[in-house]
Amino acid sequence: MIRQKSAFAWFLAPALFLYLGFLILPMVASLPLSLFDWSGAGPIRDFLGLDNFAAALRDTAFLEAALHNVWLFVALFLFTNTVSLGLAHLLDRRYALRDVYRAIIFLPYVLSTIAIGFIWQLMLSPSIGILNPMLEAVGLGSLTQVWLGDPQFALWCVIAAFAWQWNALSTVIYLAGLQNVPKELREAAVSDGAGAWQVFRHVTVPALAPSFSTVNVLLVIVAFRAFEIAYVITGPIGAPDGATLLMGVDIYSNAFATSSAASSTTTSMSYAMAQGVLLSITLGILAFGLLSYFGRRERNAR
Amino acid sequence: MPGDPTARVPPRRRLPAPRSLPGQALLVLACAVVLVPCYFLVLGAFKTVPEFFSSPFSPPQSWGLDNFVEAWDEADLTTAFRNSVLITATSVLLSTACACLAAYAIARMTRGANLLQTLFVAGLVLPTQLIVIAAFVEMRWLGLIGTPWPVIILYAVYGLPLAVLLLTGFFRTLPPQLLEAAAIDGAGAWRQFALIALPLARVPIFTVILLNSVWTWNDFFVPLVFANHESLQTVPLAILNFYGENTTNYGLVFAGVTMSAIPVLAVYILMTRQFIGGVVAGAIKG
Repeated sequence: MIRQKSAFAWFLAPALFLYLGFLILPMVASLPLSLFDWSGAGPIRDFLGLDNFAAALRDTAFLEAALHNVWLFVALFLFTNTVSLGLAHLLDRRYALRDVYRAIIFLPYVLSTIAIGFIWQLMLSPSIGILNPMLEAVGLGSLTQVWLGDPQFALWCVIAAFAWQWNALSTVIYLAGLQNVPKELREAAVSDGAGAWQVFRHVTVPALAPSFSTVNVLLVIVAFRAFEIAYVITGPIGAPDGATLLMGVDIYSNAFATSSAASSTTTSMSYAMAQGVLLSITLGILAFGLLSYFGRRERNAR
Repeated sequence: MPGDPTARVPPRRRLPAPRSLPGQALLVLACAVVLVPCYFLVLGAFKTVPEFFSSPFSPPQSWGLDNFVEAWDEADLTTAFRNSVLITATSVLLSTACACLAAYAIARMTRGANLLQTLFVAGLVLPTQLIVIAAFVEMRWLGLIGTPWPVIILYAVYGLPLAVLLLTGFFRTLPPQLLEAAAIDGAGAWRQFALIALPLARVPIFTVILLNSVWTWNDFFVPLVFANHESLQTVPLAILNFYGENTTNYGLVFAGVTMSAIPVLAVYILMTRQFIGGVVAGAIKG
């Protein structure tokens, strides 16, 4: 057995080398780097202590971006726990077209974020898009907008694209959860005289606790790490005028984009790292908070 | 296995189900919401620019492949596809190989297994932006900027959490007696792994390769940071840059996007069930 243990160390070595060397080490190193004044190229200048963090917490562009991430989470939370859950419920039966419906509903998950971003941007375009003509065709011409050009609507358009993408995974997770709910449980409830809604509310929902936990933790991660779709649709400054800026996009722009117009004047690597550390802390607290909350509820449900 | 309809045993007594007409209608509506944008994309790939304005809904006047040919040349998709294939293949093989070894060790260890697993799973939670930016500093320090290695290494690293998670889960289900029997016959840890455990893990290994390949193929954040030269571009990045240069040539952009999606769609259509099953398993264990 002793020989086995030393063999296991060799088994672990390549993966640990890659993982520690290229994920954990740079991640940990970013913490001290965020305490300095460093543009990203050239020498590391003065030690600033927590100044970068203080600046980030006073940076209105970053704080507004954080608020946009919160709205993204709230919208995704409401959307998946109604629409995706409902779709999963509708798919939780065997019938001819079930697998076809499921394959189509899951499709957005395999499309690249580039494709999703372009499709949404051009569908919503006031010149060549199809949303405005569609509204006109059904007699709702008064609702046509410039969508992504209007600061009032742009963020919600971007959020809709995220919802379109993540409905796919949320629905199949809920579907898998529903299929693990013991049939006898529901049948017993029915024979006790419970209606469809009561069965759903008092039998299905409690039994779905693990799926709620999975989906909602996933959504926290999705909403606070969000970058790609927003970057494709509205670019590095969250056009128009920062209305769709997300934290991830702001961090990227501060680290690399030379013309980070909407954001603060400090365009530097160390500042972006400080923002990144703040984002990591937020994400960590939310993800582990939710996990332990759902973990408790799961235990109570048993 | 979740999502496998055959897993549900057939006495098909159903609960009172409102799934008949309104249910079907809602599902058709949901599918339409998914398919209309895709329809818009694919039709657009064949259209000329004036057609976008004159007839937004109708099919293109000709189904010629001019847009595809032109987009392929102008966006230099030959280079981009070659880069994407090489980067995806190398990084997925590297991370799958490392993950197989690590997952087997974690599954068979008694002490420290949970700690190691938590360490790898944490990678699924960390914000991509910070770890990529921090890795950029490290890669420049190593002098690797301007080579394809940063992208390959980082994709291999970012593929590890899911791979370790899924494969550890599988190796834990192997009966220990199987491996003990081999040990009695004199097989060391390496031979137990290579001759017994690995061949049994073909299906989960395939799932891991499938999921990580699609993710790597589609991602553009890592190359956005590292592929600072046209010769290093992957397909998504080439399309993004192409769009930046041809903002109003919609037909070409759509043709480019369509071509970038074809390989993934082909894989998805051929292997829908494995794909959905694997994604769900990964999400639930994460």
